[in-house]
Amino acid sequence: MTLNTPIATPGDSGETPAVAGDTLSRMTALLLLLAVPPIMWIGQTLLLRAAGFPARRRIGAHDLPEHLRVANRMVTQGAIVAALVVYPLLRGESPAAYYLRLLPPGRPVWAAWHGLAVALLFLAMIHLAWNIAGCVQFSVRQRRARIVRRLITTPFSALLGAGVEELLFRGVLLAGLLESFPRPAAVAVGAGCFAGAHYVREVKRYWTLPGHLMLGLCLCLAFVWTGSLWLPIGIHAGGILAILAARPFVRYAGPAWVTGASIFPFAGVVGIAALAILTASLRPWYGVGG
Amino acid sequence: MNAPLRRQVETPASARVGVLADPRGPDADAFRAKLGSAAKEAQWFAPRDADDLAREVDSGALQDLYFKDLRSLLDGVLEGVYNLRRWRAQGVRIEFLQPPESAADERRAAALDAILSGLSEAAREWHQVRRRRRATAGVLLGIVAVLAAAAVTLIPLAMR
Repeated sequence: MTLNTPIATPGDSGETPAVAGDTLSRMTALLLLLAVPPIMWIGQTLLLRAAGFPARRRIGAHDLPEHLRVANRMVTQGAIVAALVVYPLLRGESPAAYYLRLLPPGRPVWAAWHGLAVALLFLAMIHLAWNIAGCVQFSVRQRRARIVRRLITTPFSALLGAGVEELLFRGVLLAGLLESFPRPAAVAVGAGCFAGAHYVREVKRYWTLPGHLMLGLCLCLAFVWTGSLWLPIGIHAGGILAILAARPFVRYAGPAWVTGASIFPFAGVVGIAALAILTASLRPWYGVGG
Repeated sequence: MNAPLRRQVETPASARVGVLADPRGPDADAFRAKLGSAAKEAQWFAPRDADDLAREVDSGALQDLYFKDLRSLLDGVLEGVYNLRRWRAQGVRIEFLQPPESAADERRAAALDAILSGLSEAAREWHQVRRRRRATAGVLLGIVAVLAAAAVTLIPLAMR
């Protein structure tokens, strides 16, 4: 059973690409995305200079004063929003019309709930297994008021985080790549860019990259199979929701190669395998010829 | 305190101080008073970030550690986060905001006794709490998994 219409690509004979565009604009999406890190770096450098700090080679502001961190974050968000707005305009479409086409109303919306449920199911199952094995420890790790505040805001954070990332990486980048490359190549590049983007800023650990690659692959295939953003948004939001909601109660005792780390439980061997199985389990529902 | 955990060595001027407490928590002022001038250079770790504190100590970045009481140290020991043997070898000094009573008399045996009995009691309580938490987490995760599995099965029917 196939629940949605898969997105068409240049390699699919007899099908019209779901997102049309002329040849010149075919690499626009990739170029726009690649422009974000330099903008972030220039923004950071200008902010550092203005505040009397030396410029840095890497993008990273975790050790800077709060006002600089906020300003830095605003530069990043501004660059992302600009990419989201500019891309449809360059194609001669209004942003609303472009993104609404990737978010069709009616039955396809259920795919978001389906993706969310699948993500919650898999995360609950692997945490259940880790709980039995003693790889995670559960306790109340924050003050009650903070936990309540966090639990209230988590659904909004999950929706916002998943929404923005899916619009950018699937709605702009992957949709653009699918117009220029065969589907496997577009998915591979899309997943690679998604994973790489999580390491543009200075981060604590880099060994989580394979987990991000697998997640990117899962979300890219979810988009390709359904032709809409609902399923990837649901999976992505479900993951963020579960991880953020569990954070005040979970300590990952490891080993790290099994459980991943902190906010990356999908980065260990178990998490990567779970993501692969999750992706495979979606194929009969949404994949071509399912 | 002169507990066995504390080695009587000179603290170099560059030694760094770590505090396991919330800097905005109820004990923060008492810690600052105890630390005195060292409070400015102290690195604070919320109790949930015990792993980070251990990492800093293991790397040699921290030399003097301040805990609220014996229990707050033992929590980390029993969870396998702190390696006291290694810390002793590194010459790490440990101080408590509320030292065990019997350690105040300077007698090593009494202090050791206090630590061991504290360890025993903490271990017993810790294992009880851990079993309870594991069971609670298992039940809650099971409920989430069952509900999610139901949704995964039923939602595709609504999409037909």
